[in-house]
Amino acid sequence: MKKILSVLFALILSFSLFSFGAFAEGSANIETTVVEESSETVSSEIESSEPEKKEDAKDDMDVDLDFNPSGVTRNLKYMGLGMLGIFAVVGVVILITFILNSVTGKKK
Amino acid sequence: MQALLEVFGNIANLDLKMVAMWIIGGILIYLAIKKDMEPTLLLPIGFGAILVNLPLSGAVGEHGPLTTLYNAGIANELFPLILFIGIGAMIDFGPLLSNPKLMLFGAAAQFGIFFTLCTASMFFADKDAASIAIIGAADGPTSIVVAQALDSNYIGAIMVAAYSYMALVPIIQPPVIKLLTTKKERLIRMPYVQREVSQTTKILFPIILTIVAGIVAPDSVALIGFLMFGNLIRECGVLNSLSETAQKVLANLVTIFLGITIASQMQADKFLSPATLLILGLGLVAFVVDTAGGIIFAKVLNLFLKNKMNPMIGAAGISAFPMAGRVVHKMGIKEDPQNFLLMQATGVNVSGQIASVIAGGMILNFFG
Repeated sequence: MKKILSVLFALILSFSLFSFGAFAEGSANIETTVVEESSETVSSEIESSEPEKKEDAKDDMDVDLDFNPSGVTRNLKYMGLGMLGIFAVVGVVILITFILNSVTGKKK
Repeated sequence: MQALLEVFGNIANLDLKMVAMWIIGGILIYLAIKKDMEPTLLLPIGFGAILVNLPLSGAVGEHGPLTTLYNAGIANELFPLILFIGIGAMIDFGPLLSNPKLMLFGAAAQFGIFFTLCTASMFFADKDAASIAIIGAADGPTSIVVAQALDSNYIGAIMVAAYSYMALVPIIQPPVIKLLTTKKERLIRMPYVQREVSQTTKILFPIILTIVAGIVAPDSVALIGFLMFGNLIRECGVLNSLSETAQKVLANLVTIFLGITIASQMQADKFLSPATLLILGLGLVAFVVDTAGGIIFAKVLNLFLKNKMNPMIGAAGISAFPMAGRVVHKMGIKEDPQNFLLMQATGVNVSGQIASVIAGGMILNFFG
């Protein structure tokens, strides 16, 4: 029980740090946007008021997490095909193993 | 004063996110040492997280050693594949080969991967969702290979989630097992009938499995091939020194490099984000649904079987070997001190290793 509690505590602390880090990241982005706006010309300032989207998401983890429920229906077919494929392979392997066992094995 | 400023000037480059990562690294080290949770990986990952989050760290960057190791062994998926040789050499397929039907539970327990794929695709692009879903394989090397091959943006978080949750199997699984089974079901005994498995079968099994899996999912050839190669070295009987080397020296050597190199993806600006939290949550979903998938499959099978199976063994179908098998065995003993499920649970656990690699190959086939 003590072990579970200490592990849970460690996890909660980690999550808190993540949340803090994410909040700090968000605050830094707001400050960065403000600095960029002040250094641009008038026409640029209007354009830069729109949120900048970084092309290389690997360098900047401020990636938008868009909620897109259509992803579920889009990937349902992969769920079906994937499970079918795994069972098909396993089925063939079971069959071959049975054959191998019957040809070469002994039962105690 | 000027000299002091020169020596300690780098402190000005320190930010709070880096300190947060030091603490996270410290927590991983604590869990590894004090709680004995996957210390072979959590300790190097934890220490590496501190290394890469020091201001202007020389460990990363264009010529940093961790960057060099990453390019040499993780970007090209080499380290996890070599580790698979060692893992294959450690696995004894005997309990599985004596009762091949147990492989079905290993297959069923991969359901969590595809469930998480559908869930994650609501928030992430399909390739990232697939990389996150593979956390459910409960297999570190498979997670790394798939995430790297799909060029995921979240490799660091995926790796940490995969290895952390593997270590948390004894904590995650029991509540799920108790929730999905009744006391009566947990008391079902499964007498073990020992069937001798011939050396020929043990030698042919890895070869045949590689051929079958490779034809169905060509992208899985590297994964399944290296795993089965390690097993073939073990079972052939003429390469004992290689088998020993693969199990101990090779596995430990690669683990050292893998652990500390994974940490190169844990730089604060990449790692501390809402996406990472979501990935950790989805990883947990994958593990829970994997466990549930195996148990529910066993319960469905019992509807048609005269000699009922203990549905707890379905939970052993995740690839976290040998922990998942031991968890099920311990729970069985706790319910009934005369109910020994170890051999069946180990067989299912081993089949989960195979099925998870096949699942990884399927994912690469669909999204690669």
